[in-house]
Amino acid sequence: MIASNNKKAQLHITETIAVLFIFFILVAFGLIFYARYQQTAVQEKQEQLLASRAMDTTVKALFLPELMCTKGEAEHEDNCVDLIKLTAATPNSLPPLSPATPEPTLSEPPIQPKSHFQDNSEYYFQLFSYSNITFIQVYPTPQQWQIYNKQKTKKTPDGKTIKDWTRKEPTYFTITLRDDLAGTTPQYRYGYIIVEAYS
Amino acid sequence: MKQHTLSSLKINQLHTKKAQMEIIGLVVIVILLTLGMLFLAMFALNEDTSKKIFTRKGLATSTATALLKTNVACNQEGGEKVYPALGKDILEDCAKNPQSQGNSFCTIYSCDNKHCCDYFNETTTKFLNSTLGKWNKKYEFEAKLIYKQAQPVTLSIIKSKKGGCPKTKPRDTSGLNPITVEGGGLIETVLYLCD
Repeated sequence: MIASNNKKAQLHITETIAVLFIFFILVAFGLIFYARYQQTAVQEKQEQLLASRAMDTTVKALFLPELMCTKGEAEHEDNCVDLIKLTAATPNSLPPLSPATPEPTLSEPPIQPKSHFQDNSEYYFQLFSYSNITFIQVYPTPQQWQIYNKQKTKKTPDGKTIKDWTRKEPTYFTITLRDDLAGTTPQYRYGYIIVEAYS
Repeated sequence: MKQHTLSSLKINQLHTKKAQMEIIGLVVIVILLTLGMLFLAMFALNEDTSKKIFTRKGLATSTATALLKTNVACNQEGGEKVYPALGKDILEDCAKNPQSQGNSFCTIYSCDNKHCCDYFNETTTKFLNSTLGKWNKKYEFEAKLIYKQAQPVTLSIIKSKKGGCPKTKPRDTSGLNPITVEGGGLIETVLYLCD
């Protein structure tokens, strides 16, 4: 009788151990899933914040009084950039980058005269933070004006400057570029703006 | 003998109760697992689309406005070089001289020696392709001529290479950009953007 009871108790203990083992496995699975979810959620949140910053920067760039199309005292024109203002503020227009063209390295910046945006970089940094803003003309002739480009950088122990960002969120918006010097009436050109926010 | 039967009955009842308890335990575990899965699915599928929709709507509006405002290089009668607006002038000329009525030339403008409707379609396709198409967006552009008491005449339908944006899909619209046609009628242009 005692032997049978012992066996029963042993069986019970084994059963309890098995149940506890399965329970802890389930808990471990739950914890792993939660940790993974949290990791993804944090990443998504960061991406959302970056996208939101890119959107804000685009709106700020589109409504820059320095570039907007105005008609005297009347309201400004939406999604329109004044070409005279743009060329005055950024004298260095370039043909648009082809996909094969490598991006200029940070250590060797191209030697160009400073634009209005570079001259007042501290003021514009407060507006645009770390981002790259480029206006591109598609028609009649492809052309581009990079008005602002500030990347997060860091120095390596050997003195080289390298980029210190991992994500880039581009936002596009179609615009017209108004040319008041084209003739008796202003001419509108077709183009777009790219705003890349760095994080 | 009787006592023995009673005790075995009690043991049986105890076993049944235990089995029931175990089943309840299992059911609880299954319910917990299902709830966990539901929560996981809820969080995973709850995507924030507000930014996407705002951007798409704004992009549709700005693209349609920019497209119709753009001045293109054409010739007027007599060979004079002019720069009419793609929407107001070229599309209006197209509405006045639709190809469907056998008009092989437009009355006001001659752009690249093409019929103004063909020129409008080609230029619009090129413009949309170099912006929205380049950014992998799906779009559909429509231009219709509306008379007072007649069926609307379709002047242009342009779809992205990836396909258009049918009514069944969630899509954003640029809104109608009405252009009045000299001599009666109204051109309605609309640009749809979708995923």
